[in-house]
Amino acid sequence: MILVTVGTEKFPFDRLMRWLDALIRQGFLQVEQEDIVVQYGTCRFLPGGVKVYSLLPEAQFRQLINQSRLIIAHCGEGTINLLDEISTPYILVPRSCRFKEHVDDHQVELAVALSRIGIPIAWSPGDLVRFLTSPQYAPCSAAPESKIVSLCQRLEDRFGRLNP
Amino acid sequence: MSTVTVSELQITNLNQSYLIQVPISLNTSEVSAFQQTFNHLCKRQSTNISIVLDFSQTEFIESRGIGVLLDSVKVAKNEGINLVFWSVSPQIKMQLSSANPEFLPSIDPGTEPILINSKQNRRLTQELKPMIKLIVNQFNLNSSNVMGIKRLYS
Repeated sequence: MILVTVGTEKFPFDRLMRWLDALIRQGFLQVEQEDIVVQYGTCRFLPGGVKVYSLLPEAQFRQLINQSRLIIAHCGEGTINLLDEISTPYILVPRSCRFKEHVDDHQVELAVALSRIGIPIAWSPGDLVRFLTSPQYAPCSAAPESKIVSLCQRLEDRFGRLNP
Repeated sequence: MSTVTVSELQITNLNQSYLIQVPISLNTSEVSAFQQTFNHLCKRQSTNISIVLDFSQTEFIESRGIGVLLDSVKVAKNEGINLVFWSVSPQIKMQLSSANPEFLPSIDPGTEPILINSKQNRRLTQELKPMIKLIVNQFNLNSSNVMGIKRLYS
């Protein structure tokens, strides 16, 4: 099973849905052979032949994550935190301000940063196809607390405290 | 399923569908390899397959490249192969459509990439917010680290 999730943002992420539809139409995804479950949030366009849920209760969502062979997700912090807890291969698709998928491009910026450390990012539907042929889990081990505290201190020294 | 590189062209095969990554610049030095690879792929496949040309990295096509692409459309049509263009930027689309309207039906409009080309990718990377640049470049941290820092600051 392949799970696709766009999180709980109020903005639709129709571009990802159209990418999935293109993959299905060209045969890269075969809905007759494998279930594709899409948590679509506020999307107004949905690909054909997939199982869809607007939103899912957390328990059911976690159950689907555990059952998935691989996951295609938007590049939201909450989703990434969740994906860090499991060892299922995943690829992230950032929302873009240009397509009115979010208020700004913070997901694109985060995706650029994450791509530098080996996290799979889809900038185009072709990237999704290449990922599907060799999905690999990109491990994200937790940071030691001392490393984070040290870094925060250096950031504070440079930029000042954000929330005094 | 596989991804192979033939004559600098990355070809991905999944479920009897093929994805060919079109080079950043389809110029004189690239078109021969592209044409040979494409024709070879068409001849050795049965009909009812799909070939997708992925233009997500493509920034420039020379006139000879346009000619080769037009030939590819004709070869695919003759061989009964479904040929589709993905992630064609507005500039390339304009170039293709003005060269020959026959290209237009091949372009899938629902496949626009986030970053049209590597130039924009480079520019965006250069414009990363200072904090994320610090985190990634100076401390070589992973996504958990980035999230952890954000949580500490929230």
